[in-house]
Amino acid sequence: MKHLAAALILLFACTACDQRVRLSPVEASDTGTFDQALVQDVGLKWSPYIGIHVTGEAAETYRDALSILLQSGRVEGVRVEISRRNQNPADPIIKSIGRLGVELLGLVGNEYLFAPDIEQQIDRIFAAYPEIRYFQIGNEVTTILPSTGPTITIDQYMIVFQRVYDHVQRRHPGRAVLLTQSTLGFGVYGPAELEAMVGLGLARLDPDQVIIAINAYDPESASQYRGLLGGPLRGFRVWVTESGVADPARHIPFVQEKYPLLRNYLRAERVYWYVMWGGDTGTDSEFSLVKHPASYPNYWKSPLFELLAGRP
Amino acid sequence: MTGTASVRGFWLAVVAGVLLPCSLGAQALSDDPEGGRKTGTYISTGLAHWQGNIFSEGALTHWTVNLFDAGYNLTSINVEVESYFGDTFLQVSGFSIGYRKDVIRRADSGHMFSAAVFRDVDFKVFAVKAGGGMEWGMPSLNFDRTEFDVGADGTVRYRHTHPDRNVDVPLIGTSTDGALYPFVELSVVQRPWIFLTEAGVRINVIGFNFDDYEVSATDQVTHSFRQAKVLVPYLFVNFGVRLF
Repeated sequence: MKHLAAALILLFACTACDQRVRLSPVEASDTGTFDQALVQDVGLKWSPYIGIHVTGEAAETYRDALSILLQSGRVEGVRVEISRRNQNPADPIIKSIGRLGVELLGLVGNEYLFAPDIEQQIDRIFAAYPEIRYFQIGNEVTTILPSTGPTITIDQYMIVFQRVYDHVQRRHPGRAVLLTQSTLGFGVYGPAELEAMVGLGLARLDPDQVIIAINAYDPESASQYRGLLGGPLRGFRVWVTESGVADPARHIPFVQEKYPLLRNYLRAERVYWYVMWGGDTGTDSEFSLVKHPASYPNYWKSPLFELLAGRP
Repeated sequence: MTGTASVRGFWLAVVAGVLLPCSLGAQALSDDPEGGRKTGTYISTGLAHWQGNIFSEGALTHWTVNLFDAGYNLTSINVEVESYFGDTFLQVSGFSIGYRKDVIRRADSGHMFSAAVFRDVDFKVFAVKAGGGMEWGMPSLNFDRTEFDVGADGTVRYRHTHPDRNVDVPLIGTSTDGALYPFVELSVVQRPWIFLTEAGVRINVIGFNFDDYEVSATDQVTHSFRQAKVLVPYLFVNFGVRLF
């Protein structure tokens, strides 16, 4: 048995010796700069898209932070919510962000889904934001609407989505590409919901005009999407519209380790970091790349932001 | 990858095939006291491993870039129950059913069940066993790969490589989450006293999809889908005890 044990140890030691070396997350060095290998690795894996909560209290900080990332080439587009709560049809914050030169993905807020005249609402939104080409119709519609207010089932949602799709194709052909509401990527809930959307007609729509949106915070739990994306939704593009981790110390490792998996598993063309600043509804979210916007210009910046900005 | 990894895999299989039976050859061989084949049903557990590129060089992608490394590295644990007949029946010496867990640290994929029949030939100090069967379950996430290439004009091209999910795994998840495919297996086996030791190679014949996408800067999408059978090998070693 000694010979047997030796043979087995030899077998597995030999096969293991070809393991690729994985880069470990490296903290800022004592000299106050990021390791260049780390900067290159994160830069290669980063997807230059970020979600932004539209709120006036952070306007100056957004402008500053986005300018910094634009200069370093680390942001190309942002996702902003077009909310019915804001009665201004052309939100000045969205407009000012757009003027910086970043591409906008307009998330048409969930409250629009209950508008009986959704087609006219879409007309108004298109008129107010001629610079926006990508519009997402709702987000996590079955999971984030408060139970005290109106809620919507996935069947009802698909009726609304089909109405918007038909209206855009008929009245605004070529004007916009629509994104589905983002299903939530945990466990089997999101995949089951997306499968229901397929059963309700999603797969019959034109893949040139519709992009599948998924919010995925754990790429490996998104495994149940793979059969759908390789089957009935095989011809559709996929964007991950929210991702990240709620711990600034783990932002950089998340990009290094999870972004490639999101691309691999979900063939995601884009991955949006959940939020530039997630503090408009209370305590600053730990997803945030910046915090304390009221302290502008001395607002807090996460290690990931600093790395992407290309400065210590 | 890896031609080197594939060559190394081959030689490791040879090493396993030579060293293991030699080491066991020093032990007493326990034949059936009545002189026939030794019958028995065993439960065994072991490890399986493969790394390298399962696709031929250059077949994975049109492009020379390899952003995220297309190498495969699967380490698995498996449990099998195998039964050896007293006599061959229609050239079959026995059958096995098994479960293999690929990528041990993840719970939500890489669960594969198998059923196989085999024929073994006794060479006194060891037996050579050849068999084949079907494997069914939720394949490992490691098989799903996407490589991107962004052109200067904003055109995004990518190839998504993924196993064909051709069956349902009932009760959980979506209706297209499982794969069913055949495999063949070659191993050397020793069954001293109540124990079983086995080392060999299993080759799964998995249907893979190669999906190419091209998205222009103006969102015009073109795609080309192709499917091909890919041989996915595993080296494995098992240890077992006789149940009855």
